[in-house]
Amino acid sequence: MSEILKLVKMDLIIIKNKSVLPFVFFMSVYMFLGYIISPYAVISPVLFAGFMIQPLFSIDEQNDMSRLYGSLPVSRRNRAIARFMSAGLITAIALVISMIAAFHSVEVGWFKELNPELYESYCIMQLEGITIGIVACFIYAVVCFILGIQYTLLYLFGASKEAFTMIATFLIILGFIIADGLLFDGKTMDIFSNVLSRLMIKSEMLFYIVLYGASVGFLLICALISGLIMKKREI
Amino acid sequence: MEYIMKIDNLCKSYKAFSLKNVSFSLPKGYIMGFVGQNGSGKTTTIRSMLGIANKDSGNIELFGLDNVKDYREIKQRISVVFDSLCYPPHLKIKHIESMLKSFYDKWDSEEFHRLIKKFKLHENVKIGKFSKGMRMKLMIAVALSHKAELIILDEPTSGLDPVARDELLDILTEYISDENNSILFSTHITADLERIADYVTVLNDGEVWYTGTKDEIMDKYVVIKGDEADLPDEIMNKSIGYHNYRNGFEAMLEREIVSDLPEEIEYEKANLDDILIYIAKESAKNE
Repeated sequence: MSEILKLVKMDLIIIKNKSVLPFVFFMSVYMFLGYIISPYAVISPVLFAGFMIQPLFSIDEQNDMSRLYGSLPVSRRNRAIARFMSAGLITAIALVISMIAAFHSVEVGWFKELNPELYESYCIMQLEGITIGIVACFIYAVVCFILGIQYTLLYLFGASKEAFTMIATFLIILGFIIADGLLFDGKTMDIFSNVLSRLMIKSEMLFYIVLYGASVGFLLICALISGLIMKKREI
Repeated sequence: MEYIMKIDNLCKSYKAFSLKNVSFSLPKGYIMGFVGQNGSGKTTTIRSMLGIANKDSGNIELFGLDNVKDYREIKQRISVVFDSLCYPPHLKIKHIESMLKSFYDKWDSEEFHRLIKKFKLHENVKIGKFSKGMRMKLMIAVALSHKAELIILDEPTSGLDPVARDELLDILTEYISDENNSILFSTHITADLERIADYVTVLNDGEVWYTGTKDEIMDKYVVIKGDEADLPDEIMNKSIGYHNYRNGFEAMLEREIVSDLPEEIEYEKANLDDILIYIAKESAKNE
């Protein structure tokens, strides 16, 4: 585990000086706009947080960093796992920050005066139980799902096929939705949303545990698959 | 004699190239030059040692440990200096240190900063802006800061000016003064090896052509020149890389056969460059 943490630290050092500052700027501007529009808008930049790690793949390839990893006392498998953990961690940090900001935006209440219509819809959503916490949890799940698929494809095909892996990820998701609609009349999605609704009604805390757990779990499964790919593949 | 590195019958096949039963060993406390023309298999051998490439068969032992099973312990004790930077170029020296130090049990920050000062590397400049010589020194500083007992140099001097090359050789000479340290030095610039290497391994077309002491190989061969008509067929057949020009011929020969040469044929001691050239010519002739 300590090996993975060291590799996560390494990823964060590399990326900190590459894409964190532009992202923090982007996130701050976006959040500020969210303060005027809606607390939900404040959370939305989390969607992009996990992708901040993505340049690491091309940095690795451009600088032939397999040589560096090959000379470090770490396993190939842990290298892959650490990359997923870095993405999950950065998304989690962005999520916490944006949730604090979202609650703060409710306190400040600028959007109430500036956008009364949006405020009304915000109140309706709150009444329907679609809280900031639940939206944030969904966003985290979506990010983990997309990252899990795309990073696995990146390990499978290499960073030079980055554009292909992005397209392939969305095609896989789209394919799943279309297949569900055509073959099962959308029942898979219905089952999924029913389970989540029941969980939400039963206990909000249980809903969070299940959805966050499933998100991290999915990322972990993808990390382990990528670890296996890396173990067998020459770098 | 204690060996720090032992490679036995290493085989590794790619579509267009293969390493065939590569075997050589490096005694502790010595420098081994690792030479061969481009594509001879030097980098593949090094990549196999590091586990970057998966060997097909054979054994690689470093410090008496298996390079696959015991890679963690081995990599605590080795360092690799590559021909080009293997760190992200947008980082500064402080980032490199904080990125790497946690991986090594024996990392010495004081030593790292002492070396950075000694090598006159700018701490506040992105390493991508360093000259080739400075980049090489940074990799050496990393190697020395975690007390590596074996440094593997993969053509670090290619593209370096003579002053930087000379500085590198001085650094290596100082490093090897500790008898626990050893160096595997892969290079095209054989003059560097003639200056500092104790042992030499020559790879040719994926096979070990020679492995042994530098003095032995330097004494073993001579370059012969003269008129083709003066060269007996028997000696021509024993020569290596024989080729004729309009005004005569040139070839390499084992020194022990020199006594059989006619007086008209001139000969001189072959240096490592000559040896590599004649091996390449011989290979080309046999293709």
